[in-house]
Amino acid sequence: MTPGFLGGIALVAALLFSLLGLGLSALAHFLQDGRYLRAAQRTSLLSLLAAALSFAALEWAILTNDFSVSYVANHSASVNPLWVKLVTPWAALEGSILLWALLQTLYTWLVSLRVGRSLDVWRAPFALGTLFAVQVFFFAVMVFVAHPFDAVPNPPPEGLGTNPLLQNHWMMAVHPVLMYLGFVGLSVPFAYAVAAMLARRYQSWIFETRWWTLVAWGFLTAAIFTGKWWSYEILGWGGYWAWDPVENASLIPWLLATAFLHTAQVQERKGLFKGWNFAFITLAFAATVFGTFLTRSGVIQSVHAFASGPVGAWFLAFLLGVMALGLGLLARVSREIREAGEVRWQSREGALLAGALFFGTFAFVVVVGTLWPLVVELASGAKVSVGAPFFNQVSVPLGVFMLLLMGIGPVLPWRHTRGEVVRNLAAMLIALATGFLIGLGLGLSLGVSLAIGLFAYNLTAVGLMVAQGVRERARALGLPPSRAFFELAATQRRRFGSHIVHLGVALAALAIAFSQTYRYTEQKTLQVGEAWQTRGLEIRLLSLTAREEANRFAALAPIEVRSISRDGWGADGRYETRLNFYPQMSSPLATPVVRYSLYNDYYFVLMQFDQEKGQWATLKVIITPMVFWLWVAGGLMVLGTAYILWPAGAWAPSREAAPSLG
Amino acid sequence: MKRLGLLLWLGLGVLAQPAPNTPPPDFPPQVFEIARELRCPVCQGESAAESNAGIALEMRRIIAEKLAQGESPAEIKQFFVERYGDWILYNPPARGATLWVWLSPLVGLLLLGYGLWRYQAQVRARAEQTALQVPEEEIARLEAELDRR
Repeated sequence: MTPGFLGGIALVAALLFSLLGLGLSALAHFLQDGRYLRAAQRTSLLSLLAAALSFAALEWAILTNDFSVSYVANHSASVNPLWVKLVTPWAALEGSILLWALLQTLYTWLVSLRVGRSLDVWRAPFALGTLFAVQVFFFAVMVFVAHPFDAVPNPPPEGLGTNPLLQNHWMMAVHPVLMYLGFVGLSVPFAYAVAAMLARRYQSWIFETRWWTLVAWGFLTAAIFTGKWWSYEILGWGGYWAWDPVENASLIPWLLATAFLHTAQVQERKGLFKGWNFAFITLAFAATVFGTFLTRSGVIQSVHAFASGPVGAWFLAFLLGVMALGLGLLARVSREIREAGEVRWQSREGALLAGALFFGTFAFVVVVGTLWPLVVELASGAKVSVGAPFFNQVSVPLGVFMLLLMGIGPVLPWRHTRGEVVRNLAAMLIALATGFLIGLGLGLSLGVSLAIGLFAYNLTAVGLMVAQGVRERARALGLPPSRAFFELAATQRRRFGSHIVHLGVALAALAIAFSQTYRYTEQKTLQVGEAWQTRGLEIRLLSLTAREEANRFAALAPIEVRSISRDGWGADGRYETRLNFYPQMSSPLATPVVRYSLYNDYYFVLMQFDQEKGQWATLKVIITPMVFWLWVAGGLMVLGTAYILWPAGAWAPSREAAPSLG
Repeated sequence: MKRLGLLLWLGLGVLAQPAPNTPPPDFPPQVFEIARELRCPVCQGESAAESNAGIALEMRRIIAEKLAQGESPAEIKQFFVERYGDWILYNPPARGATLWVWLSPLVGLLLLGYGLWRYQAQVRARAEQTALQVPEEEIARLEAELDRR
């Protein structure tokens, strides 16, 4: 049996199992018979196995250079290094849909294990049915329009090769998987929401999906930060976020999921915003499909559109289906949903709601900004651009509001405000003003000074809350403060984890403010042996050579960098700047050399070189402060999420503080 | 160096447009600051500061030249707008068709705020309705029970 044949058969089997699972779920509901439910559970395992088999077949075909399989002929080459071959399945459209579908079957199977536990038998048929329906979509797309295993009648001796941008950095092995784990993860809370609306039990789903939502959110966050890092280390432009449509496509679901995580807490505690939570989670899941539609349909140009194909219309139809299901059901049941009370604005729930309002607005702005060029062109034929400078400007005020709320929110008690809150708030505002004035005193810009103030403000908020908790516990139980702190950290994972995440966000904001404001780019042509002094650096071009490598050809310009003043602190070393030439690309690909330090990042790119005599090379130098802390911030956010999830409460549904179950 | 030339010739032989072999001019930081606001006309969503495409290199060269001649960033951007239209600007002008993009934060906030206000109003109305639905005798009975305490 050939891998192509096996893979194709397994795909069809996965589609059939998904359809069967959908049918069994429907039967389980209509006949109210648990046997069908158990059969649906087993079917989810079968579809997982079929998808895994198909994925393994693709990997097998790639590893054995079987160019009779279309995907391998189009997206692989026998000279590729092993690790590139291992990640090639998600280097292009068909394979990445296969990975997506594989992860979807994995999530469906994991959810099916919860039937009878956190997913009661009344809602299980609906939740499983929704997930099976999503699976049907992905496998149908692969079977009918984006088939990875098409047979190539006359197999070429050599494939067309993998996109060089993906071959150039190991992060490409990690980032797409994290992204899909996040995207697919959002299908689970969506399925729970659909089940809740169909079963007309509007409260308890929120406890049962908290874990899933956090998992998806954590993966999305990790994906966004690894994507930034990849973009920073590969694209040679010294930035990490370009507000490109593909990047926006990952940000929109993240913003909506963040909004949902916050209002879901209000529903957990207070039984409020039930209707809004249904809407938010529907939109968050729809946004993952929307992003895929945008970037795979060819309607929008993007630097990251690695894969495009004839799937745009399918994704559009699926997007409409998801929206119709979620919002249609909400419209039907909204009259029945009883809220447990009203919101008071000067309380935690008010701050959480205001935060969700801003996250929602931010998502709206990103959607409008991304789509507007398309809308204008369709409406009037005129071409316009909406890009990074615009998004950077509008995200400043929105970001400031969010950072302010992020500090206040957790300090405010649920429902009523107390005198203590006023004292805490005063301390936080003093920290804000002090940070701001210190920034101005150091001669930093207004925006960066404000960012320092906001960082101090949030740091103070977290410090005050932790101190308050420790004090209360130490007094109540008569413990020494250090012991009280560790006990608190161990027992109140949710609160501590969210503190860590919030610190990460504040740190990210600080790093972004610094790096966006003080990025410095300069370009100079050097003769071999010549030295160039700029910004406290002395850069010497040592030589210029060429080298042939397995699947590419490289021009190398090693440089020596010395710091000659305090400005250039930490840049010393010898670095090898290079341009890679890939046969499948018309222009060379620069591989930047990044020297990280706690303050400045030094970034060297070989731009051009003397092809005839090898006597000169043009170097671009980018110096950006604080970028290192952006990666630390991303790590903190992911760690904080993991801290909440690990290990207590991982599977046990939270039953605390349920105001109106059902 | 002969080996380098040969290898490069082999390597570049397959490329559509070999790069010119004259050293490009040096670019001060301002060039990149201006180029970052301009679209690279042939690239897939990259600015003229980031792209390695020939036309982006040429745009950076023009910007450097005009800066050296003492033109202001606004004048330089205007030069590109005259050639390519507003489309070349990544910062859309706050008029005409792209005014709405600038208003989008306000529109979004108003829309969501209005939705929230309506939602709250409904919740309140329903709560009042539920209160009114309690029959008179029930209220009387409850009051009597409370009085007894």
